[in-house]
Amino acid sequence: MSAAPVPAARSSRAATPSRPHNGLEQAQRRAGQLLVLPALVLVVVFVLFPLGFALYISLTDWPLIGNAKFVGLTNYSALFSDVAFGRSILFTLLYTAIVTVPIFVLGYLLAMFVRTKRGGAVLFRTLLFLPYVVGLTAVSFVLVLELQPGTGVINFLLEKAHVTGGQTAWLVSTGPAILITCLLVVWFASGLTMLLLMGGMQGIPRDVYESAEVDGAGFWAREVRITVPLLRRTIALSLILSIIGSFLAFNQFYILTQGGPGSSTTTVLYAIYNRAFVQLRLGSATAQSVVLVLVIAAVTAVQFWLLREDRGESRRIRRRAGRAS
Amino acid sequence: MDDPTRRSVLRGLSAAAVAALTGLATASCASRPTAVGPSPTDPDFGSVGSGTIHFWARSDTGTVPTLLVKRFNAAQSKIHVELTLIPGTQQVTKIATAIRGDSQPDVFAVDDFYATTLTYYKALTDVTEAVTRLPFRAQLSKGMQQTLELAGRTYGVPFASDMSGLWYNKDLFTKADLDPAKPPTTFEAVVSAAKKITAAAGGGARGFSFAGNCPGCMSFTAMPSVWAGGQHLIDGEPGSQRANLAGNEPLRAILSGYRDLWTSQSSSQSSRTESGATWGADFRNGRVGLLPGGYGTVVGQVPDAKLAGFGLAPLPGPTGGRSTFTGGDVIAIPAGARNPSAAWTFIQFALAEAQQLALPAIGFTPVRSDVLTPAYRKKYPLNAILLGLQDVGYIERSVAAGTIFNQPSGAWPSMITEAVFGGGVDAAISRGQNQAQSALAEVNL
Repeated sequence: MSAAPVPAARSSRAATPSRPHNGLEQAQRRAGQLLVLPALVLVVVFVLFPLGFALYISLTDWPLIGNAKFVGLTNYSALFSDVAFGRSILFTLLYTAIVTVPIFVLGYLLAMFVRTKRGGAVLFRTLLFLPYVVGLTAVSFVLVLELQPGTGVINFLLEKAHVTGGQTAWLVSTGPAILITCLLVVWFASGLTMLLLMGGMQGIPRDVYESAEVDGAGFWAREVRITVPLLRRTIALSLILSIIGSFLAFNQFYILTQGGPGSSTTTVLYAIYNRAFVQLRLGSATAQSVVLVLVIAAVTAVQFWLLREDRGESRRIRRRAGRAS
Repeated sequence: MDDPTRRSVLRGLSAAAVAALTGLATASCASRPTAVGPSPTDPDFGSVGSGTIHFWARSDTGTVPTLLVKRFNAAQSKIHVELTLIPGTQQVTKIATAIRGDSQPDVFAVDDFYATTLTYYKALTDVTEAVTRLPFRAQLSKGMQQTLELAGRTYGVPFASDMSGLWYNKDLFTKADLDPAKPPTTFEAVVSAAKKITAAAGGGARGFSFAGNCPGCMSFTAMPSVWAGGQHLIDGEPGSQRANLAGNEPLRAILSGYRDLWTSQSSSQSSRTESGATWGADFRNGRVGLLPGGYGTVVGQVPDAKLAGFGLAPLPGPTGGRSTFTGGDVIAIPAGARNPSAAWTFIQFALAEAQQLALPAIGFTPVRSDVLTPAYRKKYPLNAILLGLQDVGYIERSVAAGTIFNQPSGAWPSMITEAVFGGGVDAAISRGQNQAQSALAEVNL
């Protein structure tokens, strides 16, 4: 398709609207609509319709088997008195609060370590990102095996080092279970944060650092005064991904603790899963899911607002760098 | 590319999109053919049938359906059974979504723990008349059968049984001056024997072992001792049930016994963490005196020569009585199945004596007590002990069974954890009662 007819059509319409030109414009509009149609169909079929249907299900007592009847907002009002759901929200917030900062800090430090073009940096990048490639499910299963009292390698090593008797049941007490799951997740997820931040760091022009050096800025001053401000958007992205991931935590708890002991490590998503597929109450579970979606959307919006790019500061840093060079 | 060509391409694309959407809509709206052959109320139901039937069973017990389907397909050519094994944790979800999507199989074998839920929600075909016509209906496992009954109607039959008993190590009994020919007949005696074995055996061997981090295993092995004491954990018919944990003396006694076994270190250390993956390994290795477990927990996992050193007894109540958990699979025809008559032909084949007699060899127990003959006792002496308990066996039936008993954060596992390893029995029972009652209230009418 040539680009020439489009400006011609626009200019002629501005001058004297005529039937042939209108026809051409209509044809182009139709063509545009047709080209958008497949994407629109996909969005309607796979996003909007399921979302609308989910909203409808959340207003019924939809069981996994059998007929459903409309119950209005009962599923939503019941959430206020649902102790188990409330407890799962609190635990999810606690878990998010525990892992978010270590994932970010470790990810940032690792990004600083691998962002250079020194020999071996690529190898370290690969090694540090490897857990993310293997997947949380697989590493959780491996950890379950290695934590077994008597047979797991972790208990074996601790026994050999005379730290424990080798029979510690790490996952059946709340404290150790949370600690181990958080350690696993920090190790697992910091690789992704590292990769995101490293990409952002490599996008900062060299001359900005060089001019800062000329001004006598040290390593940490450059990091704090240049890298962090210019990395604001990437930091926002990595934090948003990390927090959404924590809000939707499921696999690691399903495999490591099964939400226990009791319900002490049951996350929101795990509670929703139980409601839907153990208690077979899809209506109630869908209402919980809708609330979770709204909460995540709200948290993400707040994060975007807090971490929005300070264009003035970015411009100032770049201008200063320009002047210095 | 010039305009006419572009138009034709766009027209082609839009036509293809419309055709694809129309096809999709037609495919999703078109219903499969309706059921063929006689209905369950017809006398010739199960005797007239042909074609291919689809059979879903859970993978955990997959050896049974695999064997029986192979035998059935080899024995005749009119009906062909296609077996699909589905993960045990997804069995209810899979069948429910299949029924909703009108793509249900013709036959479905399911863990009898979930049969009440499927029965209650009308997910299964009413086969009352067909079951009445079975000549051996009175000999079918009553514990399993009651999970398929609702308001006087029957929705399936037992398929393969997995019952629990009390395994004991004869050598360790002898070492502790206990008579291997006289296993304990009360739970009090179990605790006492475990303590003696722990004291006498030495070398780190323990008197008792249990899977304290496996809700299903604890249902399978601890519940029968409560039933043997004359109490159930849930009372009433599905839809109007109440939890019977508070004030349940046999339950209190059994939990206290387990706590005693744990706190006195008469139980293996892995009892706290055992999630079922290596359940019974310590007993099979000769390091444990007593193990409540299933037939397949030991048989088929140790050489025959070693098996002679093990005995199997009924699980006793606190001060006497005996019972067993009549677990295993039941078999039913999902509601809306297309070929129910052929499906019933296969079900009758699976229940025939020749098929049921093949089950002990693969670690399961027949669901018919009339196969328990002197020849059977001689061939399968250990399995015969469990089959002899069929009439005193039971299983808690409730729509909320999964929530209360199998969910790790459910009332039953939480109560056991707290009672045996935590704060104490009475507080645990009190909390368990409230939690179980809340779960029942959500499914009661």
